[in-house]
Amino acid sequence: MIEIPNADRDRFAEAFVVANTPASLLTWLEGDPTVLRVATSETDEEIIDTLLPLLRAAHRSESQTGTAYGLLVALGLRRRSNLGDFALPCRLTSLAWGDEIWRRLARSYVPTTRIERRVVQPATANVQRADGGAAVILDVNGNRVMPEQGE
Amino acid sequence: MPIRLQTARGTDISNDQWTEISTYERNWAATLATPHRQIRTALSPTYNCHGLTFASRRTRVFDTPEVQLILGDDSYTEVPIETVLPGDVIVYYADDGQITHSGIVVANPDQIPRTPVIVSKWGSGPEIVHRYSDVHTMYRGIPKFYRCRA
Repeated sequence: MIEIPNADRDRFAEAFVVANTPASLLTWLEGDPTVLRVATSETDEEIIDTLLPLLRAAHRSESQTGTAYGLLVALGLRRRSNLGDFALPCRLTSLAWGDEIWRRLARSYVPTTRIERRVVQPATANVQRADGGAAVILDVNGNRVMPEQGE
Repeated sequence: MPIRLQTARGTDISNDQWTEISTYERNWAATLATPHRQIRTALSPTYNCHGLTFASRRTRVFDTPEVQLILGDDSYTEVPIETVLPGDVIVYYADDGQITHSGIVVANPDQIPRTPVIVSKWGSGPEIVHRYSDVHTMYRGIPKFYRCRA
């Protein structure tokens, strides 16, 4: 479980109350120092272990709800910087804006472009080391090519 | 609970009315008054800032694309701060282009620098009359003013 100081919880609570939209809440939380600290210093498992009891609480306070959003965004930031795996970490139905915020985090993730390069094989000859260290040049069919015939 | 909400061109706008105000919100709202802010109404869970600005205080509008749809369908045009008039609207944008807040201009005193006064709503809190730059840090961003040409 991650220890989150009361001052941080109070800030999360105010963010939750002030936010008019999921966008404004996410924008705020993405820049929150505590969210950034959790995202960089805690593991996915620790974040989820701390988040789940908050999601399951029958009657959440603003402090708990705001903290849950903070942890959710921290988890999203970790996923964004690590694997880019945006499968839902748990059911977010108890957070009114949970799914929406998670979708926004996933949408803003830009995966690194995968570049494939094909190595072009020499079309005419391979070089192998023969017994005794002498170089033998073979053509693509495996036939020996004499140096004076190579050009 | 959503209501029927459409743009001038008849495009449906998703929305939702909320019904509850918590004790925490009441206590938080009590801290909002400052010498430069005028609290205009009681708290209301029914509408948010976009609901005040674009939906006649009837409901909450949440998404940036929905607000952009309204701005487009209702023929809003951006106007420079020097020419802003009462009745124009202000929309705050975050760095990533997301809309974080909105309000209605109520005055634009003839002074330099221009500091329009707006009425806006913070969360489920009250409507507040304040200078356009005096907003909660969550809403700070790039303010743009628009006039409805319809």
